[in-house]
Amino acid sequence: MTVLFDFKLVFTQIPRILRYLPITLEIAAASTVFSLIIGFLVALIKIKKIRALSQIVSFYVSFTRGTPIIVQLYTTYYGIPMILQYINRRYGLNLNVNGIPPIVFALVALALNDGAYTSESIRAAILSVEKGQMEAAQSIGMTTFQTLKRIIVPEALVVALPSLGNAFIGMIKGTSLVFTCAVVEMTAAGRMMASRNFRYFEMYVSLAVIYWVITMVVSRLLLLWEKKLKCNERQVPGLDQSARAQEMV
Amino acid sequence: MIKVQGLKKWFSSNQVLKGVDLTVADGGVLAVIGASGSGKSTLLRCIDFLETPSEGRITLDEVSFDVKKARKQDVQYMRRHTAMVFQLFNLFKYKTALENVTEGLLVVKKMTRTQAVQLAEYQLEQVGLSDRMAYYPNQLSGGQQQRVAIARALAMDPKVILLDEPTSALDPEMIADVLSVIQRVAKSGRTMILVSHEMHFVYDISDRVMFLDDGLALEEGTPQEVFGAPKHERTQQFISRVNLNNNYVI
Repeated sequence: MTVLFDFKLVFTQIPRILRYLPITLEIAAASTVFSLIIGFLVALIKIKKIRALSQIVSFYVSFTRGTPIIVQLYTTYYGIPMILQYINRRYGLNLNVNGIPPIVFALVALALNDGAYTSESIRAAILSVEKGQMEAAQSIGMTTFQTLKRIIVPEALVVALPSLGNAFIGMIKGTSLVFTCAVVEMTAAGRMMASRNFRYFEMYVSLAVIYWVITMVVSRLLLLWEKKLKCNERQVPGLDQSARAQEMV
Repeated sequence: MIKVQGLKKWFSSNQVLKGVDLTVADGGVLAVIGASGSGKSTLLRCIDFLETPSEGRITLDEVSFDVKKARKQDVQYMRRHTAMVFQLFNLFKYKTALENVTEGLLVVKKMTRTQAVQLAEYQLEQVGLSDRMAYYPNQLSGGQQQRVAIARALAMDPKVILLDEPTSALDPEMIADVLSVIQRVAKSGRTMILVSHEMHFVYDISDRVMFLDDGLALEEGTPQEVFGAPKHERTQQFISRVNLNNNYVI
């Protein structure tokens, strides 16, 4: 009789799954970069209250937050080829509808999904920067762009990093759904491997262990980064707290 | 020379400045006094375009423009050639004292890092903070922060320095340090517009005093004239209420 639970297999098959780790991380990293760009633009549009765009992005955020990610993945998977076909017919072009690499669908869907969520964290973070910081920058003649780049965004990042980090961790786990777009990353590859020996449970346990370890490492790194950003909380060499307290009195 | 003519400012329907004129010659120190809400801060902020003035004309040396038709480069010109010292210091939170001063030198004046650091170190020494250059604002006392802010403003070598109640947020013990720094700057021949409640200090440091009341400059003259023999009834009331002798000795 075969064993009920092949404990050894859980660990021995991990290296085989890990061959697909790069693709998982690539999807997560690339989608996060795009989602940050989208989120930042959406946040700026909302803060600046640009009229026409403001309504469009509100619709986008509301729609994205109101629909499940799996539905979004399917709509991109079937929707993008349709849009291309429409363009082909309309303008008499000959774009290759079937030639789109599957990963594109995954990236579009994940980035759009995550962008809607992160836009709110980014907006809140930018608004949390004291007005005086911007005024100080302007008063020494910095342009709006310089102020944004050198003062506002770095300060907002300190506030936004914990929630953006959470979003990134969510994204790593979210990549396990992109098999719907025919992308083979760790989870999809694992399912296929398990279908050969029917050890599905062992496979999912292995996957769980891998995801858990990755997110643990990532959240550790994020904490270190956060600490680094909060440079003003570091102890200055030679700063004597008691002397400072005396000065403050 | 800086000249402001007929400056008006509305915040929606509320008119805060009702046509203010002022002229400060090079090296002159103009003090603007008046009760809270009289428009003193708004006046300074309009000159630096932190608030957009509604009407009037601003002239700074060779550049003169109608504020209604102010172009981007006019605003930038005013901001580059004036420097503001704020009531709440507004130091860049995640930059050290030194970086606070070098920021504008690097980004606006496009100096090399070596030049910028050298000048910033000099300016911080001038305000007595050579031993605090690596400190972040939250590691400095209020008085120290304000002195960094003054160094930051001076490093930009502005034609006019605008001080918006620079000591109002400080503990009494720290005020003297900051005032003595400001006094030295004034003596060095830097043109200044100062909004302050330190009447004794205003009397000492300024060569012109303007009394602002409800958005109008009711009275202007030398400190001796305004404090000694105020003409207007509102000025008399205001002056009589502030006790000149009860201020901090510098």
